[in-house]
Parts: sequence; structure tokens; C-alpha cells
Amino acid sequence: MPTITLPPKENALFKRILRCYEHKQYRNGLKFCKHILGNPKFAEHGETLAMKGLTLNCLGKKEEAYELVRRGLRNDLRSHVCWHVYGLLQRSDKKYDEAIKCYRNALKWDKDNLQILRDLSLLQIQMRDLEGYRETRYQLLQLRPAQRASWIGYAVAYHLLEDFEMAAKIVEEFRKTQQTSPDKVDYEYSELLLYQNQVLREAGLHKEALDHLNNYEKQICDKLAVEETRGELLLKLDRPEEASEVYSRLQERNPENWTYYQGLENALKPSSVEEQQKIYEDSWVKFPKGLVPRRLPLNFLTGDKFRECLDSYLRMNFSKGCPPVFTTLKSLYTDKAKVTIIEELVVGFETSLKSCRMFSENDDGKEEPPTTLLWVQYFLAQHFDFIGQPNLALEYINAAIDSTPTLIELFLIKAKIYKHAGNIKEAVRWMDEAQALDTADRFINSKCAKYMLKACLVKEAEEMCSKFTREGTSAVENLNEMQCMWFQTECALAYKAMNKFGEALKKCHEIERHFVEITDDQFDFHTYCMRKMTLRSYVDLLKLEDVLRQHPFYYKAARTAIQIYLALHDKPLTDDNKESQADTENLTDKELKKLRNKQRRAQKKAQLEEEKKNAEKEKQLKNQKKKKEDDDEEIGGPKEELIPDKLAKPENPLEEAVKFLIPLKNLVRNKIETHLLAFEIYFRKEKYLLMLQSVKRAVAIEPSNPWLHQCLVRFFKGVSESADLAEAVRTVLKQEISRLFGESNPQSFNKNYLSQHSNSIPHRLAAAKMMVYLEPSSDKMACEIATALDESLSGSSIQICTEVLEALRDGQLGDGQQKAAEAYRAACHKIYPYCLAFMPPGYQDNSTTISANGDLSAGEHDDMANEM
Amino acid sequence: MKRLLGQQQLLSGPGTIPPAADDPAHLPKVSDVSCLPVLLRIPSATCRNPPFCSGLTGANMAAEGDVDLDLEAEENCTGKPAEKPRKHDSGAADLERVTDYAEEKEISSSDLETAMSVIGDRRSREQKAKQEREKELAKVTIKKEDVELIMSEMEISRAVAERSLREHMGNVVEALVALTN
Repeated sequence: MPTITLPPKENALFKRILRCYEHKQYRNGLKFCKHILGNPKFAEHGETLAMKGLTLNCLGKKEEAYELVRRGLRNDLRSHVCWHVYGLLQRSDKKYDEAIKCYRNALKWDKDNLQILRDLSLLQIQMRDLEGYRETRYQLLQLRPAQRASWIGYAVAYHLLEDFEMAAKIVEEFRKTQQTSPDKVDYEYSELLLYQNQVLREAGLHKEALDHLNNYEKQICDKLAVEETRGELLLKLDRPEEASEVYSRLQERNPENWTYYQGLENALKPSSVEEQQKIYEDSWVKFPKGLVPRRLPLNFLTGDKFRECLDSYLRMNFSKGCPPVFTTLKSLYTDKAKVTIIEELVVGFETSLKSCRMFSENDDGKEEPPTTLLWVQYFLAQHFDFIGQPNLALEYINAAIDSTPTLIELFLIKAKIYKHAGNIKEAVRWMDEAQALDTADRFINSKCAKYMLKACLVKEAEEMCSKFTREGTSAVENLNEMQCMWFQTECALAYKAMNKFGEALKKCHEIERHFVEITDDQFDFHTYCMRKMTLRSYVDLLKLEDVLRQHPFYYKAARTAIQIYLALHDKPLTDDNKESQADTENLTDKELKKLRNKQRRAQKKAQLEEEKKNAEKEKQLKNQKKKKEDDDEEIGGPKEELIPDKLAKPENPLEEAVKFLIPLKNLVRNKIETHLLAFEIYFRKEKYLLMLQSVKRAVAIEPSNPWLHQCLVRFFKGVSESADLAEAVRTVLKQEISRLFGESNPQSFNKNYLSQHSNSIPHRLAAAKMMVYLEPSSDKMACEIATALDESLSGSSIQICTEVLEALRDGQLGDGQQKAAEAYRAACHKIYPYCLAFMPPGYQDNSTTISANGDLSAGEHDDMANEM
Repeated sequence: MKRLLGQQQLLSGPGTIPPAADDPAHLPKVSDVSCLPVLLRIPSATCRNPPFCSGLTGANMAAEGDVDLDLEAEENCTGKPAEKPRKHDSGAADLERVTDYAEEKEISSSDLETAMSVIGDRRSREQKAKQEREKELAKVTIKKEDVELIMSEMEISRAVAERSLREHMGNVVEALVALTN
């Protein structure tokens, strides 16, 4: 189609359209569009049509906008304006891939257009097309070699492509052109220098980096960074004497930073434990109040020396009243000998403090204040809780509470003990008690809400949170807006436990959306950081965003979502098998109808509200007074609403699960669970090679993992039974299985596994399940294997015992195991008397309901006091 | 690209796309887009444009000056007080603010040239190596059904599947083994 050329008059009008657009005079802009398009000669003028579309997009008419821009483009495929507009439209929709393609087309027609190149480079870095980004930055540098952004952008491109030397070279060339006076403080120049130094270090040019640091030290504002970097470099260059000086200076600055002690150790290279200890003893003299120099030697000392050092460390903390002292020692609990020493020592403290108010009866000196005993008991409660002795733990914490019934921390620990002992309801009760002691404390409020969610008390938890959320909106909404992910994660788990899959999935998707948002927010920084020269932070940010989804919040949400989707695949919800059934089964028809009506009304109301919101948004747009923040939402367009009922009935649950899985596969490769979840999905999809991939990666992490064993047995069975595999696939499977496992007979594989791990409960359960899976008639033997609870067996825990019990109940160990299940429950109850899961049938929690406002009535309080 | 082209075709119907659209030799004369000869060419300091339209701001300037004013316009911009940076604005104004524009250029011109030449050498070498690798890979003959097998079995895109197959000289078993690692 021939391109229409506008005569001067219309051309002037067109320019006014552009100006109106820039000045947000959309209505006027549309008027001018009408002028041009009204003339039948120019009714199909591509660029005008495109601009009309873009203008309409700003007025919220997205569909019309797309139609017009596309029509404009079709009429003038050789116009870089049309392509650029189309790109901008896509970008406003966050379709970055598509926008990149549009910009590329635009550049075909105007290859040196700076603005398009710049826009393109932003999208490329956002999408991490690093090669492409480097190309574009190169073009920009060629076109504008005198602009600093050109140089910096090009250097960053090389840095991200891990060509550090080249990056350093470019930064150096650029630095040379910068004029600075040595006396003037120029923060941006300082940042540039530090960035250059970082690049040099990453390039492995330690010598150059050190020289660089020394040369420009005066012009760098961040003195601490200079000193820390210097220490690091001196160590790398093997100049220990200078390094130790640097670290001593740093210690003076901050004696509580443990990396400085580590640096000092690395510099002095002590050849024996004595020498190592000497380093710290020196610090004790220099910093008598320092805790870190007292704590660190506990990592490497053993025996009597450990006891001695621990003794002084603990005395300092207990006298002072330092609540987190147990947490600081937790990492030592992997060493059994140290655990024994800790226990002996602190129990000794407790006895002695009780009898003579001193840490040891042999001490002569001043008496300790009564709070010391309190903190010792507090410590012991945590200690015994951690090593799995809830009885003793409760004894100590109750003694402490008796002496000081107003200390919140004590109730917190009591709740924690009950939680670990498997009685979440009791835990909630105590956490609520703690919360009631100070309702203005948000930490304890959140903790309490979290415990409530663990006990599936969603409503109560919401109410609890609402004390701190904004008034006027519901707590849940506000927490979602604030991206409060711990709350949403726990909510998802609670809903999942209650079989409300739709609600749970909604929470998982909400969390997923937070992550999408965080990735999108990155966009602003591509220009901002270059402008402000904060390149160190910028590169850090990019690296963080690359691995964003390995964050535990994402992991938990993804795992929950995948598990639910797997369950929905295995047993899809039907209309009468609704998730709400759990709630409704006790209701009569009439009541049910009422409830349904109510639900419908609620849904309608929500819908209306949503519409209202949208209308308001549009209004705002019209007023052109929208705030900056709103831009984002408006640009992204209203996201699809998450409706639990719909989410619970996905068309293809496995595909949905894969969506959550992919980031984990890429980012959390070191966790075996990732690959096992992957296997579960691919097993159901019958993708044998992807199953192979999953087990291969899992085997590399932990070959004897019980869950992995179950995967392998099912995998082998599946491979041997599948008939219609492609030749190549079969070859690969055969080759790889024999290479990795030698044999692939599931029966004998299972037998071998059992004999190898016969003294571990989790492994026995896995083998037993697989016995039944391979041969349903072997359920008797399987049941025996799984339910053994001898003391000689390792790996016993509330969790694994619950799993065994569940397996017995849901038929994974054969049908009709009700009797065995009951016997097993009773046996477990003996071992874990507090655990709710093993309580006798008909056990009624005698605790009264928990009031969300935290005020336990006086009567209830008495009950509890009696219990104590 | 596929998706975009698909849309185009859908919209324009068969035959409406100029056959030479991709060929730079057939570029229309500048006058074809005469209304905007320098549209988007001049970086602008006006920030009032809506967040994502920065690309078009140049048009405004173009309307007022002409092509030769390119640099001047830029310098003028630096004089204006920078307005509040907006989200998703590509920050054109501030990015453009090159300190002491003319002066800096003079001082660094020789440095720039040497630096540019270093960079240029390096670049051409890189590109050569890359091209050779690509050429080598392109020589490998692969079977369409192998690619499709890999795509469906491993659930990956065609590009990735093809690449891995080429890297393993068209041996589908080896490619699959590598992909399962």
C-alpha cells in the first residue's frame, strides 16, 4: 500500500497531535486526528491512525487503541513512527518481547534513531538480552561518544556478560575524560571509582585493584568500603602483615563485626588452636564488653577450653539479660559434645542460682540479681525444646512464668514449645496470651496471627492483623497490597489444610504476582541508576532480580501451588464435590440454599466494587490528575481477577503446576525438593525424559532420599511398562538408567534399598509404600515395616510418624489398615503425648475458644493458672 | 517475531505487505515520511509527556527547529531545570545532561578515538568468532522429526531444541542425554 504523504497544512496538524499527546491534552489531540482523518484523502494515513490509537490508550481505551495502531501500521509499514508507536503500546502493556520486536522494525527504517535505540536498550536489559543490549549500547556509543551514559551503559553491558577486563577498560577510558579536582567531594565520581574497582576485582586483577584504590582513595567518599576492600585485596595478594593492620583498624571501628575477626584470622594464619584463641584473647582485653570476640571462639574450641569460654560468654549474657543468647548458640547444636557441655553448665547455673544466687557455689563475689535466674530458665526451656524434650522445657518455662508472669518473651517460648510438641491449639492460646500483654507490639501481634493460621483459624488471624492494618479496607486486602507475603503463605497453607484449594491457590497466585511486580519495578532503575552513577548497587540489583524467585517466599508459594495442582489432577473437583463441602455438610437444604445465596450476593458485591473501582480509575484518567503511582496500575491494565472457584477447576492443572515449577528448576537447583516436585508433575504427564532429568538431578544431591526412592521405583516401573516410546527416547532411557543405577528392576531395587536403610523410619516408610505400590498383596509386611517404632530406629519425628499414620489411613499401605492405624496412633501418642495428631479418637480439646481480641476472661485465666 | 508477523498478516490480508519491506535497499526516500524527517531523532528535555511516550518527544522539537539544530537543541535542554523524574519515563532529560558537553568532547576526542578503536577491534574479533561458530552449527544437517521429538519430550522451544541438536552434530540421543543432565 502506498504511503500517504501529508501536505503542509495537514503536516502541521499532525505535529500538533504529537504536541497534544506530550502535554496530555488527549481530547485536543483527538480533535486534530479527526481533522486529518476526516479528509477522505487522508482517512487512512497510517501515522495519524497510530497516534490516535496511542492517545486513546492513554484514555484507557485499550482495545480501540490496539485496533487503530495496527490499522495505522498496516497502512504504513515503512514508517518508523508507526512501529515505534506500536512498540510503546506493547510496552505500556508490559509485553516487552513484542515491544522489542516493534522497536527493531522501527530501527529498520531509521537505524540511527537515538530515542528508539535507547528505548530498545532499556527493554533489552529488562529482558536480559545481554548480547543484544551490548549491540545497542555499542550503537549508542558510536552515535554519541561524548555522552557519559553511552560509556557507562556499554561498560555495564560487558560487565554483565562477565567480560570484566573489557568493562574495566571502558570505565577507565571514560574516567580519563572526567575532570575532577581532588579537593572537591564528588559523590558520583566516587561511586564510579568504586564501581571500577569492583570490576577490576571481579576481573581477578587484584594488584591493579589495590593500586587503583590507593591512587584514588582521597576521592572516594565511602571510607569503610575502601578499608574493607583493601583488607580483602591484601589478603588475596598474600600480604598478611598489612592486611592484619587493616583489620585491626576495622575492629576498632566496629568490634562487633565478625568478618573483621575472620579477616584477622586469615591474615595471621594461626597454626594451632592456641594461637587462634590468642587472637580473640587480645580482643577481650581491647574490647572488654565485646560479645562477638567471646562468641566466635566457641566455634572452634572443644572440651575444657570450650567450657571455660562458654562459661564467661554465658555469664555476661545472663547477667545482662540478653534474650537472644540461645539463638546465638543454636549453630553449635550440630556438635553433640558441645550440647552436653552447654546443658551441664547451664543446669549447674540454675541449681546454684536457686540456692545461693551465684553462678557457682564456689564463686565468691557479688550476688546476681533475681533476673539472672529468670534468663537462665528461659535459656533452658529453649534448650530442652530444641533437643526435643518438651516436658523439661515446659517445666523450666513454667517456673520462669511463675516468677515473672508479665514477661512476654516467656509466653512466646511456651507457645513455641507447644507448637514443636505438635499441639498448635495450645500454642495459639499461649501466643494469644503473650499478645494480650502488649497489644501495641506488632511483632507479637504478627506472631500470634501466624500461629492462628497454622491452627487454621483464618478469620481470627485476619482480625488479629486488622489491629495494625489501615482502617477502611479489609485486613486481607491491605496485606495483599503491602505484599505481606508471610501472611499470604500461611493463609495458603491453612486453606490447603482445610481442603479449600481455590482459596489457597488464590493466595499462591497473589504471591506470584508480587514477584512479577518486583521484576517490573526494576524497569525504573535502568535509567535512574545510570544517571545517579550508583552502578555498584545497580549491578547488584540486576543480579538479585535474576535470582529473585529463589526467595523462600516464592519457593513456599510455588510448592504449595504445585502440590495443590497435583492433587487436583489426581482428583479433580466436581460440582457437588465442592471445596466448601467441608463447611456445608452439616447444613440442611434450606440453610445450604441460604448460604449459596449469600455467597452469590457476596460475589456480586465484589464484582460491583471492582467495577466501581474501574470506573473511578477511568475518571481519574479523565481528570488527568492521577498520581504517579497509579500510572503503573493503569499501564499494566487491570489484572485478571483471581476467583477461587475458577482457580480450583483449572483446565489443565499440570500445565499450571509447570508454570510455578520453571523458576524453581532454573534457580533452586540445589534443593532436592525442586526436582522431586518436577518428577511428580512429569510422572503424571508421562514425560519420561523429563522424569529422567529430575531424578538425575535429585540423585546428585541426595541419592538415598526417601521421596526420591519412591520416584525411582515408579520411574523404573513406568519405563518397563510403557510400550509406545520413540526409539531415541528408549535408547536414552536405557543408556542412562544402566549408567546411573545398574539395574532397573523395581522389585529388587526396592528390596536393596530397604536392606540398606533398614534402621531409619523415613526410609522404611518409603520402601513400604513402594512394596504395596508394586505388589498390593504385600500390605501386611509393608505395614509392619512402616509402623516399627523401636528405639534403635533413627529418624523418628512427629512429622514422619504423622506421615505413616496418614499412609495407613489413606490406603497407601494397603486397604483396611484401620486397626493398624489405631494401634500405631496409640503407640505414637505414648512417644509424643502433646501432639494433637495422635490424640485418642473423640479427644476434645478442652480449651475454650480463642478470642481474637486477646482478652481471656478471668475464668479461663484461672484454668490456665491451674494447669501451670 | 512469528507472533508479530502473524498479526500483521492477519490484519493486512495476503499480499498487502510490501515484498521488499525487509530489504533496506528498498527503503523509501526520506520524503516518504516527510512529515517527520527527524522524528524521534532529537532527545528532548521535556518530561511532561506521559510516561511511555518519551520516544516521541523529539517530534515536538522537530516541529520547531530543523535537523541541523540537533545538537543545539540538546544543549539547550541541559539549561532547563530537570523536572521530576517519572516512573517509566526513560529519563531522557537527565540522561542527556552531559556535563560540559562541548568542552568534554574536545578534551577527550583523541582518547575517545583510541578507546573506540580498541573497542572496535575487540568487537570485530568477537563477532567473527561468533559467526564462525554459527556457520559451523548451520552446516550440521538435522532432521525435522528429531527437533520435534526433542521439543515435545523436553518441553522446550524450537530454537533451543534445534541448537542442542546442532551442537551434538544432529545426534538426537546425545542431544537428549545432554538435555537431561
